[in-house]
Amino acid sequence: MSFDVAVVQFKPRKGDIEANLAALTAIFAQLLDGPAPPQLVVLPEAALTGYFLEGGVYEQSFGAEAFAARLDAAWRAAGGTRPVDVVCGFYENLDGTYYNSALYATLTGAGARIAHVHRKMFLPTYGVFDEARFLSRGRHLGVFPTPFGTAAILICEDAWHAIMPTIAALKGARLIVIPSASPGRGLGGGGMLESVERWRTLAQMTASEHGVYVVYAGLTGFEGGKGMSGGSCIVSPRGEVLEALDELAVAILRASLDPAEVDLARAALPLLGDLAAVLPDLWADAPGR
Amino acid sequence: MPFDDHGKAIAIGKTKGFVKMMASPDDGRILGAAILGPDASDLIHEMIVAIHFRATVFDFVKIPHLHPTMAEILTYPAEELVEKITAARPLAVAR
Repeated sequence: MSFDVAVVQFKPRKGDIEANLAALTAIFAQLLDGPAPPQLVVLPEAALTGYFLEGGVYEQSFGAEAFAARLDAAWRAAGGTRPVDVVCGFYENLDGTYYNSALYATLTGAGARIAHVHRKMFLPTYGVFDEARFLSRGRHLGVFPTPFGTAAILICEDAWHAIMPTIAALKGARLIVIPSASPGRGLGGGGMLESVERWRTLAQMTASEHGVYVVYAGLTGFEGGKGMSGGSCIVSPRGEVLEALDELAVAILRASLDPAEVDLARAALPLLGDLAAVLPDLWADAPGR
Repeated sequence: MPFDDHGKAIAIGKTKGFVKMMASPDDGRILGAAILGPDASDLIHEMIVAIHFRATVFDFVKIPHLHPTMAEILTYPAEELVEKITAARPLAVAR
């Protein structure tokens, strides 16, 4: 049975959570207006506040329950009467400790159920990035059940470290969702920005090596002279780009994911099973062991 | 877009004036521009080129503008116009 996903390549108004929730409500209404509303809606990293907040994260952060409740209110206001799952990045205030987080929640219109909160583990603090000055890093890479199957969330740089999707897949993930806010950079990407081309390649390599669906949601819009590059895409477990959006487009990406494709891809190219078999030997040889 | 809200203009102390851009609400084609302020007679040439080649504000915001420069100010009204034009439309759906 297929699983319908909508990626919203969102352009926030920086620091204006109310305006962004209003925009999200309109997008929810648009999704509900179609013949087949999606079962999962994926939004980018820091989608409803903008990314480059620096010290503003302390004023634009939420507890996960409170943030999920705001999403649920938007779903209700849009006319949502049946449940929908959502992944959305946000700045989290967990008892006075601040994280760059993303949650997976089911919105019913009468309350939200959180299945998982991932707290970004790799905080870029170089070049234009300054996350570790203002945020704490997550310390756990979890997987969680969804109607599609076991899933994991990796936030932006998390996915640039090959060990992260590898561990997620070894822990059972069949779907890896990547909310991101990636400033566009580099002009040598064969018609794409180099950073978008890198993301596309990375998503394809991750998907095909582990036999997982990869859903990448890129923030778009301009923040302080930096262009968030969008480039959202959905990649099959064989590494095929099923759908993709251009840089800077404010748009919705739709695709149906078939859980059986994961099994077929892994049967055809059993790299994950091979890794699971060899991993104890590799682990014994790891530096510091 | 006033120069007193633009980083380079503030940095060099030339903050009087504004830039203005007009575009079609239908397709975003740039219809005209006005600049009153520092280096206006030079800055306007970028708009002349854009209009000559029938550029839209969607094209314009994809053109790299170096930072910090005076020319960068032209991206601000272009970005606002992109936002206004797209906000009035349902989002495109790719599938």
